[in-house]
Amino acid sequence: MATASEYMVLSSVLFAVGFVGFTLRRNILVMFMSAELMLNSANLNLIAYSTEWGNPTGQTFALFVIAVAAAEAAVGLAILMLLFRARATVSAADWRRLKG
Amino acid sequence: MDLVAYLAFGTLAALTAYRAAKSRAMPHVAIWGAASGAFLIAAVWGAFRGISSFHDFLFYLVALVCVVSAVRVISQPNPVHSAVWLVTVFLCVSVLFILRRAEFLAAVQVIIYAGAIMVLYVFIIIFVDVEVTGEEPAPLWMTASALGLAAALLVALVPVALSLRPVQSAGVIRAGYGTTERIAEAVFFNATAPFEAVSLVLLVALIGAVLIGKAEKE
Repeated sequence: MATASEYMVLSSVLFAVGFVGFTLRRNILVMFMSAELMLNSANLNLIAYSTEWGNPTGQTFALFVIAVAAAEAAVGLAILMLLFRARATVSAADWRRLKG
Repeated sequence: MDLVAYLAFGTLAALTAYRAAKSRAMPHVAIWGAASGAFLIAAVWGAFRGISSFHDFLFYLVALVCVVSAVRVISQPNPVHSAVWLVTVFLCVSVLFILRRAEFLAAVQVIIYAGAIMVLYVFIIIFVDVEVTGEEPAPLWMTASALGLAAALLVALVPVALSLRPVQSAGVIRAGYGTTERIAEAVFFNATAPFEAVSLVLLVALIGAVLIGKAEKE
């Protein structure tokens, strides 16, 4: 069986990929998808160490993370629709004035 | 039980080999051939070296596919392609959950992530219907600092991950560890208040999404 360390390395790589996507892409949809990647890498870590300790609390937590990710996707995409309706673009670069 | 897994992989190897033989375009032959080879190696490896080594091989295979798909998610200009690659990542993570004995979470991952959340994404992509024009690339300083930060993250995390000793109790987990029954016990006996809080969060998010997304009356 692959050790928990190897799962943690994989989850670090996934998190780094998600981070690069979130910072470099301008398309808001792809930025959300990168956030999902990062959430998944966190879940992977939780599951790996939950089994390592034989304690299902980690799995409970991963379940909550999935629920919160669903809430985040629903609200985030609703906001995206609102932005799109105001100005027909999904590029974060076109919304620079939101910086204030 | 193990035999079923090896036979399934052998069948997959045969099917993908057939697909490779029928393909015309060279890249398709290469991709299907590589998939067939991987499945064949997994089946033979498992049959000769036992289930534990089969799990190891499967882990490395799925981890590779997972990382490659994740890179494709962030490098596709078309968000629909990104979404499809993201589904691949979710399925790979679900396989890793099964390898880690979290069967219930694997099912939840497929149903909620690969199912519900991705359908939501694809609906929004259809709704916004933007033309796929290659977005302007990020400025050089931004690319450099993002890649640098990601590299720093890996440099910080990977040695820590590799230095962690395996826990003594590893491998002595109870039978039926990741089943619905055990997760239900853990959620409803030990985490009742967080569970209620999360259901409230979902309800508020639902109402909020409807309110935000509602078309305004002129």
